[in-house]
Amino acid sequence: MKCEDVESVMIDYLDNTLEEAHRHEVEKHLETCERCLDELKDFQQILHTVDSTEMEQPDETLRINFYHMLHGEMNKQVLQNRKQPAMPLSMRRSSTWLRLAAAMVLLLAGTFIGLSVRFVINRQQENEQVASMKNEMQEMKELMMLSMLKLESPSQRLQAVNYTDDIQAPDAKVLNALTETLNNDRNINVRLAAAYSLSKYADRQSVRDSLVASLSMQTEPIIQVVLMNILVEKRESSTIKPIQKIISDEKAMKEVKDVTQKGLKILL
Amino acid sequence: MKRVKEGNLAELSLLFERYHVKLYNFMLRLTFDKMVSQDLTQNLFYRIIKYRHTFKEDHSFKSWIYQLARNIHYDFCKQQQKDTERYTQVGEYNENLSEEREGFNEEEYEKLERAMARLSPEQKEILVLSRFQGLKYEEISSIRDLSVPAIKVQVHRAIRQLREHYFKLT
Amino acid sequence: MKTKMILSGSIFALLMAGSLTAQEYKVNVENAKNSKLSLGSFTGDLKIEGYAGNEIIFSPVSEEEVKVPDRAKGLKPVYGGGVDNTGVGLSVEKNGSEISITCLLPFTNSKEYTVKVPENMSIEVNSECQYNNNIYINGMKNEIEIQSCHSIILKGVTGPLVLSTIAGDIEVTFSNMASGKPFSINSISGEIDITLPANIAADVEMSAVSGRMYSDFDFSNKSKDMNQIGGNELNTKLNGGGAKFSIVTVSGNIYLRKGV
Repeated sequence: MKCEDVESVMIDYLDNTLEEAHRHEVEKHLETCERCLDELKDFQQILHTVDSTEMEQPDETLRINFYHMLHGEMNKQVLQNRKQPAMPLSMRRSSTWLRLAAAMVLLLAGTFIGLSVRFVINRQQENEQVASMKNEMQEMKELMMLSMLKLESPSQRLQAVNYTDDIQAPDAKVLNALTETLNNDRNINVRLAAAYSLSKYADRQSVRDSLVASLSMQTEPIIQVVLMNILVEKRESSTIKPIQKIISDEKAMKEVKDVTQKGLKILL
Repeated sequence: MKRVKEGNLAELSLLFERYHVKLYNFMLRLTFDKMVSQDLTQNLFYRIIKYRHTFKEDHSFKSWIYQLARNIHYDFCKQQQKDTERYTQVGEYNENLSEEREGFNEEEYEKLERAMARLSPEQKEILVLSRFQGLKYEEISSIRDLSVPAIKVQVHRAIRQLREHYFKLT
Repeated sequence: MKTKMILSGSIFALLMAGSLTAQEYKVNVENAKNSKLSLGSFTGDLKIEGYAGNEIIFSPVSEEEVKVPDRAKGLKPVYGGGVDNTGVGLSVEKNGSEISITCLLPFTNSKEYTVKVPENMSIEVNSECQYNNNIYINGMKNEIEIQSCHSIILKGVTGPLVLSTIAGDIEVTFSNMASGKPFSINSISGEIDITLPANIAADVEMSAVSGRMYSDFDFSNKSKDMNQIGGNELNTKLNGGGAKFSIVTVSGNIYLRKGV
């Protein structure tokens, strides 16, 4: 085997993809050819470094932006589907058939029934498709919301909280995430947004309980005010205790105390 | 992918989960810049969403997606040539990339990066496709529209060139 | 022991704030768009000016403050709150893509600072009530987050903005307002005066518990979601609606102006 032949199969040799017979020839050549042996060693070292390079992880914003884009596209599609009566092509054809069949009702009685059944099934499938797409969108929004809540930028965490407004029937996971944000996010505006979002579900006792618990812990005046308003509007009597605590706090701002007065008047 | 064509967009999220890290690394090994790579990858998925209708079903999705990736990288390189006050293609290398790697053969890795930066764009690309992305020769052949033997030759030449640069660096 | 050190620190600070001669202090920023500048504990007014460069530049405000007493020659200013690695009473730390600048002066020493900042950086300012510190920002083109006690005046910014103050006023005018991003602006007793571009598409939610709201936008299609005890709330879509723009105040007034 000549040097140039060895060169052309060197990578395969190192990858162990060379057939037995060729391997043998290469090794024989290498026994006597120092130049090729050097090249082999160098190739081996480089390939080793190349192949052991780890995959880097992109940061989370890549996923978030992708889901954002996908969400936008899905919205577009849902809108388009709504605009047209959205008959799939096969159904359009069958409605022409239906018209023809109606005219020849006696002759094609069997066909007519068969087609109309398909008509019904297609409609059903279509509704199911729309429903499942809506479910998928819901799941996606939840996913996005939960991952965005962990981001560094406060406007993105705000966006995450705002997404819950689009989620129709938020489950415990979402509500817990909102409560967690209300109590622990390091930014006041984000905590406030969480309070407003939770207020939409204040019909549920569990949500009201979380809000009352939160009120007892809050120190920021604006959040105290908003929480009190929400709970008083729902006539939640367990709010009385934390309200009284705020009243007894000398350091509480005048604006906060005003709200407490009005609140107690309504609750008591 | 067929279902995506038919309008089931949610399937795209599966494709994203399966390919986004690989494609990010494809861009990264070519540009050496994390931020740029992230932008390019995002752009790539945007195009996948936007041009999903153009995907021909008898092709493999893999080769379609890599073709898109190559085009995006190519457009980026052309743009770079225009902004010449930014870094030059050959020879320059962005320190940010290897700075953050921990432990294991950091020096070797850094040398490799600097050597790769000196390759021509075509050589870099074929190396990335073959070694870093782990694509088979047949797969590369359908992406690049070259025969398998021709690809093997190109890979070999790229590694020889890489070897020259690599062992010149201290 | 600690009090004693702080006291002597403050004397030094009064005498030697910026013990170097009228030098600017600069910090280099590599990737402004993805970097954040975090400012805290400033004791006096903070004036931030966005510009198209890649350095953060602090300038001392008056020559007089920069004079070094003879006795201090050869000595460095020391502070109880940290290490002054700038010579102008500030401590600068770089942590990945975040640059943190903390003012080390004791709150009794109110000193104004002017900073030029690469306009594409995002900014975070935290200022507690003991600091008598109004914040003025001009020409920044990225996210601004401020939690403060006093006034916040923003001009020619794009946002997104996440602002909160207690007693101060908030005034905002935009240049090229970021669309599709949420905004949130709160105050307790201060006035909130915002000029929005006339064609901005947003879902505006305004709420003033005991204050009043004024605007020259057309709010004919509004919805009322919540009844509050006292106070008003107004939710409306501008130009078809978009990302949420939330303004909440307790006893202050809200002025929402239609700009060009």
